[in-house]
Amino acid sequence: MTLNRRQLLKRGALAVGAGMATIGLGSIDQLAMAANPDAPDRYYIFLYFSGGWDVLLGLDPRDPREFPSTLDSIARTRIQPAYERVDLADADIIRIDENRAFGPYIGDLQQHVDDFSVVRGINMETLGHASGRRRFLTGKPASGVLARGSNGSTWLAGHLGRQELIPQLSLRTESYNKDMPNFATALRVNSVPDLLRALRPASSLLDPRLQAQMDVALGRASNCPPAQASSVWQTSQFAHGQARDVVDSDVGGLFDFAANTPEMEALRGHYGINQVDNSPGVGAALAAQAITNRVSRAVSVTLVGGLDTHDNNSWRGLQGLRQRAGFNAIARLIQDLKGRAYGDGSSWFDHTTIVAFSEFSRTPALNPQGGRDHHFTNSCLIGGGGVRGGQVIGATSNVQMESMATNLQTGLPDPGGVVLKPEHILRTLYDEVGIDRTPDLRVQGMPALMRA
Amino acid sequence: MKHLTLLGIMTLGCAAPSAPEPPASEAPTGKTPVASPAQESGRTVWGNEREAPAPRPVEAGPATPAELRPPVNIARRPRRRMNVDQLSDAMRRVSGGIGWTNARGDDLFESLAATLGRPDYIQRTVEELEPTVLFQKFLDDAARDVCTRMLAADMASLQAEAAADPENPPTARILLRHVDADDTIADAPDAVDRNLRHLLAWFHGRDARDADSLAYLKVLVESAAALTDDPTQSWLGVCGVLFTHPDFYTY
Repeated sequence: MTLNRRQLLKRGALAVGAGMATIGLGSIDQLAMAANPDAPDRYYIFLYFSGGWDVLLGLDPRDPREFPSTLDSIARTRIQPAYERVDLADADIIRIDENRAFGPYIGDLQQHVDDFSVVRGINMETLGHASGRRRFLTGKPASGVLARGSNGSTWLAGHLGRQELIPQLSLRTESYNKDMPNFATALRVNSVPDLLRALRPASSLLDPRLQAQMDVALGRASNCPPAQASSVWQTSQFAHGQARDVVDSDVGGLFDFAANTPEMEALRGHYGINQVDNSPGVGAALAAQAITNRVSRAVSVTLVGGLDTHDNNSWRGLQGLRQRAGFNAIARLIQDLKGRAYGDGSSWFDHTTIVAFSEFSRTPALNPQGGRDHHFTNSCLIGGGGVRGGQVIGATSNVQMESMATNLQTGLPDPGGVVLKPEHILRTLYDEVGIDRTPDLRVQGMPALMRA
Repeated sequence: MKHLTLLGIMTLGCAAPSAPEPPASEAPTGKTPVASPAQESGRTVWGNEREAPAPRPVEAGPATPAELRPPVNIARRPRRRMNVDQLSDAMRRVSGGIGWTNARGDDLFESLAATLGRPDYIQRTVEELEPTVLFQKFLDDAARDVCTRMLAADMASLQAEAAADPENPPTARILLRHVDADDTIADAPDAVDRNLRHLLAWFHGRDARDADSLAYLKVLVESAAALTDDPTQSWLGVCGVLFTHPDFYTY
């Protein structure tokens, strides 16, 4: 588990090829992509804010003095920050400098504004929760509501993560693998206790010698002609072996956040974990543990839920608080990754790209119920490994917050540029690690977002 | 050439407008039905309004041998994994009512349903049916748990049979249906063979008439009994293998 990736790739090229041939799951192209020793040693954390976030409260604010809640202003701009209505004393725009500002619920993340960049004006081209979520995850428009490609995390885990125990780990986040070998498929759990159960041996222990004989018997059965002809059978056999490896690796302790150990006590204190639930702190801690212990190459976590706030009570009372809880957890995560040595003098934050996103944003003007409905124009946050922090890429207009065309080289609004879409984010990440055009996202990456 | 003409007639309605015309000698004679509208005298005329083609005589060629029965090449659809509810139900039926539960009696398939891919129709609208790592892990856990309790139930039944106590009648055995607790391949090969055939039929619905179908299970019975010095352990192993075998959880 602590083997150097390049060494392992070089040593294991033949074994990898044999494995691919045996399980019949990978093309030569995929094998070539997976064994790319020149790709940067990059890890990924995707953090999903579920329900559609109100970017006016966080990533794309407006000054309430310029956009007051007056009928005239609303009619003219269709933008109403309405900070005076939220349950937060003195809520106001938070200006960092001339170019950067955040909404009143950005929370502790304002202490890390140079560690991440914000991409604004992303046009989601959908107002449906499922289709928006799948659009961001895969970089492709959904077919109806069905995902049409693999997750970005699947491509990245497939490209870089062959040697990790669980190349892709997902906590309450959808994952699709339509293009990559089996090993890149996410181990997707609904809760941390479920993950612990998956990583630990069964309560009914068998004699190890008997267990070994059972594995041999199943392996023998999988060599029969009907089994060889069945992709499901071969996938099952591969997954069976992988499940055994996961248990044998004994990594469950890394995620036992309730354990009475000094390490877990420190983790609970850092992330503010009171109980092992679905809180943002638990999700962020899981991501940090999986990445820094080299268990996973890509981790996806639904960090925050319940943002679909169409009425006054939920928008005023919950939208901002939930966003702030998520942003605070990201701030803790950044601190944690910065504090963990990678081993070559750098920190894990230098090697881990963090992407926080939602399926769309909310209407810039309040609806008659005092809440906000679904809005096309979205923002996302991206920081860490490879990312040039402290930037604002793209923009939204001052009338109805529509997407403004952006120059991909400079990241600045440019009438001759392109309207940003979720696939621009994924394509940029793919470009950095040398994933070719196979994902077929049909857009260019954004050089402005990444360090040269 | 006749075939080409026929093919041309059949595909005429799909042909692109710019498709080259066939040579005059191959062009069908008379009016032919078309599926796309044609303009005639400024009016759109559909194929079914046109005159039907004249029947053309077909000459029989020289006699050639032909197989009237279709070739035995049954098209098989891909295997499909059971969903969580089907799997839980199938396990209970095969085990005689024993489900995968924890000490409190909670159904663990139910507890883990979301992780195992059951849709909630909020975040997930399609059931996950891939035989993933998680599925294999929890199937393995379930098999261990259920098989252990099935074996315990059969052992209790054997004891009840031996005791012949009318107050405590034996229940129908499943794992040890045709064998005793200390039967091995060496001393009771026929009983072991019969028991394995029973289990294969019971778990997978397979009628194991040929020896090959049982070969991998016989090896398991023999090796497990030898390694553990306990013949009942081999039936625990057989049970676990049959539950985690794709023939059980796919269809």
